[in-house]
Amino acid sequence: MDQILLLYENDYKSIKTVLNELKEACRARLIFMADQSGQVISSVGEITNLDLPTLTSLTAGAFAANLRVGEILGGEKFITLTSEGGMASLQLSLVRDRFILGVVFDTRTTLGLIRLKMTKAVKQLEEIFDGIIDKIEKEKQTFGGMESPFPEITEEDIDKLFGDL
Amino acid sequence: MVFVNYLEKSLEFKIIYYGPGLSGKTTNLDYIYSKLPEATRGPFTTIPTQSERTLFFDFMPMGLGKINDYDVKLSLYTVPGQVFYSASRKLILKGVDGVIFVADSQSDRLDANIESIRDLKENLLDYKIDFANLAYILQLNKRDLATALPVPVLIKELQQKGEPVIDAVASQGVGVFKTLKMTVKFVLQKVKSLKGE
Repeated sequence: MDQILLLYENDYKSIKTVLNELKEACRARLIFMADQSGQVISSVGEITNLDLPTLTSLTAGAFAANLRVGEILGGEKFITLTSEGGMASLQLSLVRDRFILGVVFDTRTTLGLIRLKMTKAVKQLEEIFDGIIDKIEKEKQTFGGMESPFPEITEEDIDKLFGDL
Repeated sequence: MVFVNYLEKSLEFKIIYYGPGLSGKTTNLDYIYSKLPEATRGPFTTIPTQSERTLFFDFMPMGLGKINDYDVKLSLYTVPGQVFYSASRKLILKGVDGVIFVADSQSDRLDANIESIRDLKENLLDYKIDFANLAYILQLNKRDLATALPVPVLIKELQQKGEPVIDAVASQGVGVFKTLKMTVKFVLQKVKSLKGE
């Protein structure tokens, strides 16, 4: 498998803590963490009636396009993206080249505050993700591979997933 | 990228429908959406052009139920098939875990199929995704049309690495779930055999 992210309990809690602190510090409506393929890793805040997977897949697409535009224009990646609207605005920031931190906010706060607090959060998240990636690499080297959560999976299990479809 | 969350007990991965313009990628997704119970599917998101062809991508999240107590979730995407949307196609391939190549069986689309496979392999290479190790299925769509080439001819021209080939008429749902199921099996088998890779 080319890429896999195994998120253990402690790491997941650490990410949640950073997101919660960021939400409080900048009075945001919603904070989310996604990977660059658009998969949701974690979120905190007002997510009722919100389709988070679609939000993250669309923002990942927009962000990837933004990175490429930066490369075309100046040879450097644009690592942040701002989208401002009347009811809600969105600030995105790249985390360690593989992940995206997103903050949804409204008029209760300011873009300046969001950017300031995000800078600190990005550093904290980068440390956490460095630890996660190190752990995966060490497991690969020490044990000759990662422990699959599905060592006993059978053909029958997979068939059952689809039921009558 | 396969994402395993041990605390929330979830496994998520990304499958992309690739192929030339109008080969039936969005039709596959439309059919899946129409047959899934509401509780297991997310909304179908599409960003079409004025001519109603896919511009950026179509997207649908889908829950498949549980394996070993883990929720299995898929994100299904299509790419825009038209040649001039190459940049969009490349962006969407990022982090892909499985690819379904939807080929148009009609004789006058053979070259477009071949060009699209070439484009796919080139884009995968740019992301350093190993095509030889990727979960990959070839779907031969539009088998009901009189202009469809014989299956052996298409296999000879389009099969890349001995991947499974599935006949389909996506507009009628024929072969749609069979293709998806086989792709999911391939991805899950790779997750199963993580140890030792």
